[in-house]
Amino acid sequence: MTLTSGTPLSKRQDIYAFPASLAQQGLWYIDQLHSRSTIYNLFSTLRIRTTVNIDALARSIQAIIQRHEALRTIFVTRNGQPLQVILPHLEVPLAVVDLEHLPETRRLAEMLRLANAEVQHPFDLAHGPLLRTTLFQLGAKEFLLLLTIHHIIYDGWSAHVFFRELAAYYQAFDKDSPVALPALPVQYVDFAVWQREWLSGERLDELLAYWKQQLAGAPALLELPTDRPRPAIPTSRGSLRLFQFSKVFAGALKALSRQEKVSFFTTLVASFQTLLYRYTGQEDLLLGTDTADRGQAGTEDLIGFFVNTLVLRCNLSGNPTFRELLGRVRQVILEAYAHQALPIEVLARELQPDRSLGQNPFFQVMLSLDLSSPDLPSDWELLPLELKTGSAKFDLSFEMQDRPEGLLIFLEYNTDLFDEATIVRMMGHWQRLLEGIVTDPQQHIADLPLLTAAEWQRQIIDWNATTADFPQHRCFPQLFEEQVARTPGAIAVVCEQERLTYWQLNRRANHLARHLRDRGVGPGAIVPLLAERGSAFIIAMLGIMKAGGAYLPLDPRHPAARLRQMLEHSGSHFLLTTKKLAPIVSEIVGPNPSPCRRDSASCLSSPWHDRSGPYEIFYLEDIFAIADTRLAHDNLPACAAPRNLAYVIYTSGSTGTPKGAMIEHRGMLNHLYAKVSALELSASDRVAQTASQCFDISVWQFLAALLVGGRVHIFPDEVAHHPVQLLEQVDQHEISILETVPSLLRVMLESIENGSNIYPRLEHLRWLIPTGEALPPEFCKRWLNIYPAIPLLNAYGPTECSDDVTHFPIHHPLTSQQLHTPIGRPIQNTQLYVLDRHLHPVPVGVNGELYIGGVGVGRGYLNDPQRTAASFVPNPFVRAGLITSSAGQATDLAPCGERLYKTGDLVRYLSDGTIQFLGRIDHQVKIRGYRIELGEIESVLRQHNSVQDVVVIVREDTSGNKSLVAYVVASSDVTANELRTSLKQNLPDYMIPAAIVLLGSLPLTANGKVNRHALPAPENERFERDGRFVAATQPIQQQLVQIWEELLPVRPIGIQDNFFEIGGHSLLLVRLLGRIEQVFGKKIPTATLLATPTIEQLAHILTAETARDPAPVGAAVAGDASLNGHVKGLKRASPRSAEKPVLSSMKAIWKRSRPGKA
Amino acid sequence: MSNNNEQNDNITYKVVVNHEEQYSIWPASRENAPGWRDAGKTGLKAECLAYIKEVWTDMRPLSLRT
Repeated sequence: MTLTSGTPLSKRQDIYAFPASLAQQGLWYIDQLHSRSTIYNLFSTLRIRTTVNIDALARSIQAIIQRHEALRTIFVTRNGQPLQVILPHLEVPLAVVDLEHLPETRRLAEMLRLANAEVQHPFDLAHGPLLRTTLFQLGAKEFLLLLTIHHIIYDGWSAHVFFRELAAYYQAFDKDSPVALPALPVQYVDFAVWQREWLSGERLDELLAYWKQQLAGAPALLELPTDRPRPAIPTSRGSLRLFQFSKVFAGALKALSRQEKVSFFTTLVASFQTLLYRYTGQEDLLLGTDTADRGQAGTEDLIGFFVNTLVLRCNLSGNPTFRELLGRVRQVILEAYAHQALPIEVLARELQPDRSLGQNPFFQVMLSLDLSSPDLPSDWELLPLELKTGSAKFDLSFEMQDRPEGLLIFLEYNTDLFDEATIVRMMGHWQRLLEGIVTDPQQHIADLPLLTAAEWQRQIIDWNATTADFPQHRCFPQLFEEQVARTPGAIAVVCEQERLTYWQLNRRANHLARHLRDRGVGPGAIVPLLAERGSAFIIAMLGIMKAGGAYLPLDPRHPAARLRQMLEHSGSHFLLTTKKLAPIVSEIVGPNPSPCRRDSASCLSSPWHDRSGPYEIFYLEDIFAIADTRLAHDNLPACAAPRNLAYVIYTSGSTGTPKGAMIEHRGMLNHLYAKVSALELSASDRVAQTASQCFDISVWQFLAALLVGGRVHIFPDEVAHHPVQLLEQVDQHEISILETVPSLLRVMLESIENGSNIYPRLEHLRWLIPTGEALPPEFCKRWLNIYPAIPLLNAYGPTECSDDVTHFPIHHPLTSQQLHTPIGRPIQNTQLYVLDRHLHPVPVGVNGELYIGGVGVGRGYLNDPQRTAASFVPNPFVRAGLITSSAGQATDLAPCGERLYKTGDLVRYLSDGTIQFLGRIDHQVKIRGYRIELGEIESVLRQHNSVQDVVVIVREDTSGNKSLVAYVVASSDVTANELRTSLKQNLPDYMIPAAIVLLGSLPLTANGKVNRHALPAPENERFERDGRFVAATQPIQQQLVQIWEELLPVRPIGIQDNFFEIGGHSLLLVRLLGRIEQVFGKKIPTATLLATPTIEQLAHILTAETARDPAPVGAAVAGDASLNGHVKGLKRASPRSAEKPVLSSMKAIWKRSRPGKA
Repeated sequence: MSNNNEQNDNITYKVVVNHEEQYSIWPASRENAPGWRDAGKTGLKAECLAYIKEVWTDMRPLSLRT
């Protein structure tokens, strides 16, 4: 038969084995990969609301099986290829399950249980039958017929044929009347043979050319946010949920489609692409869909696997309106259907998309729509039932049926990736989008509503209802002074041998403040403070604040050039320092103090300060020495207001120029009270001050205890940076609150775990606060293992927002599945928003950028209006007046005109409202088109027993090629290759670093964070790069190379080459396994090869197998074995096969394209 | 997913200012956030920020300026 001549397919004579169709071949390969799987189990359910003549029904089913060869087909393997064998007869009994004896209330549940078990039972392609039928009797006039059938012989169209014919046969058999079905002119195998012939030459080239061009440069993966990391070897575990768009809603969508002159399907596809775009941010999206492919005369009445899969690739760039997008999608669909004749299996073989993940080629989400339903007797109805086969063909698959009661959506999803709740939310978002589209199709796709009203209320209002009282109209100095009045004799500060009571601390700070006021320091003044951490430093902090000024901490250990840069940039003309640091001061401001240019009289008359260049330099010792005689020690009147600056801290900017974050009193105070509240600080607490004065976390470490009568214990750097000593001293000094960065926590944990049994008991420690970096869940587990009674408070916050904005108390280890420790919920008077790049909230589970609003949001960057305007943006989540949370709490969310700080941090909401930190947005990289979170690779590496610390970065070589480099600090003599092997068990190939560099320790910044800029470039002798050629040496390796060369075009093949990186794909995999079995007599599981895809590894496994089991198993190929089984079956079933040995006849057939002419 | 690759930011912005005379930028196609008004400049991000550099000379909130 050809398309043009219209010649009918000839009826074959005596042939009973054929090559499988191209589509069948594809499913057969998948079945080989996932043995005993139910991925391609299809089912149909027919509700019968009348009496049933069971005998007539069983005969009808048998008649259909006899009528359609496809239903009598099984598949055998020959030379690693599938053949379809048509059995002359095949009995498929109708199982009848009588549920009528059960109480009425239990019948339905029992039926669903049995039906689910039925559809979860796999088929055996080699032995058949590939369909099963069960009739459930629920009442005298209430039945359900369940047809379970393998996709390889069936599709959606076939279901219509099956049930139409079932009705015809049944009515005839029931009444003993003749059957009015016309004879079938052709059968499925005719189509299969015809297709192979038709799809060749120019026609094939033309189709391939179209699809190649259409799919050129397509993204390899749709990066849907998943509930769990994508497994290295994808699974097909799945489940199904049935959803429905109401008749009215579906009607509105159809009306819109008519109005826009597109099909209903086009509207559904375009809206769904919009959903995916909003979930992933990807503008180039690939989606799968079905096409019935019944264009050939005679095929429309056949049962069989005709359906083809089309790839719909849509370009959503430029934020089009939905109406514009409809136009684009319509074009894509039209073109795809015009080129629908190319089976996707052929396309996959031709294009070899990156299938190293074993994922579906081209797309991960499928969408199909069935518009019609077969004509059935009035009391027969194809009933949609939510039966679960337990597997999923794709990440997500939406099978939609347009029915009188509305649009039914069978949503099958991969349960290794998604939770049911996520799927339900996603459907809610799709519906919300569609509602927005119906309202106004002229909206831009980025602006269409996505969150449901309930979600908006929860995410924007309820989770941000953090209003809590704190003295918002006052400033720290006054609150401290009140505490001094309450506990003047209590110890406020301890630093080594020195102790200051509240009274002493306040008195000295007052001295300094009066002096500074005299020198012109007041609200708005910035006073750079260059001093070691110690009691003098905290006195200076307080003194500056009491005078109304803001302190700017400078660390004497920083290079003079950087200090000078900050001083100059701040525009301040003060410098408060200590005599000990005079040499550094002269390095910064120049060795020869120049004469006073300003206020010279005052300058000359003040022996306690120098003028050096533009700076007025105060030495703390001088001030303290003379203060007693010259200045009063009483409290000053309040100088600063809550909106005045409390401090300025410089952070490193990505461009190299530091940014001075300005923090106001109200923000600082709110954070101090948030810490007081979260840690339940009281007068009995001793807070460790360990952080550098230039690190914002030092602020609360210095000040929080002073609000409640507690004590701050300042540990000098040599202790603070030495985790073992620090823990000893924390123990010795009865410290109750300790904050640390995870890098230091790691060293602490190791020193305890590797040390003797004698480790600090830390009996007084109440909280450990990790901050400043992502906290690996593993650390929590290890800490709580050693100190089960000392919880952790994970804390997150940018310097720009007065330090921490979230807290997450951890009393118990997290579940092992979590790669990221949550950072928790907003602290008091703080709002958090997870937004996309168009500043719209993203749903729970979807990655977005964190924006911070509330009292803690700082003023911006000192003398840097541009950076300030770019990072501090208008807060759109404001409504006039009070907003009431659903808990009934009145929340003054944000007054008009407030700003949000744009953090640059990638986060997502978990469903309980806690936030997960995923990494810096600028640490998110694209390599080979894959978007990669460096933090994820780090998290996986950390799970390796010998890995102590790790950082992964992207390096770009001179030609602009980007590659991943992992820097690892390991405890034992683990090799880079071992680490790579272990990574490969957990991560897809595109996430495996090209180089793994082992280091003794990671370079750290002054604040104890990893210094990414100081990481060494990988040197050849220190890392092993992927892809180098290593020739086979052992005989077993050489044999494997030969096998690989049969299958792959690449030469030469090295023993470390990855099968999937040099052209292998899952189809070839099956053949490879077959060949290995033939040659070595060993059956290697598919999963093993997926995990160890090199000749070196395979040889290792084969050698190990042989050593364990020296007697080789029979070298019979699996396919032959199963074929032999069928020879017997055929002999019994068909007298013809006794005359014609199946094997030889098949060999002959294999070479014939038109078996009918044989 | 927020991927604020600055090179790909072809959004047209406008310069906006609040009651404290603090400046910022906002997508030109969108309604202003409550409490913000147009400062009279639209353009690419860099153009808007350059404008802000010129006009925002006192970064103190208006209520603190005396």
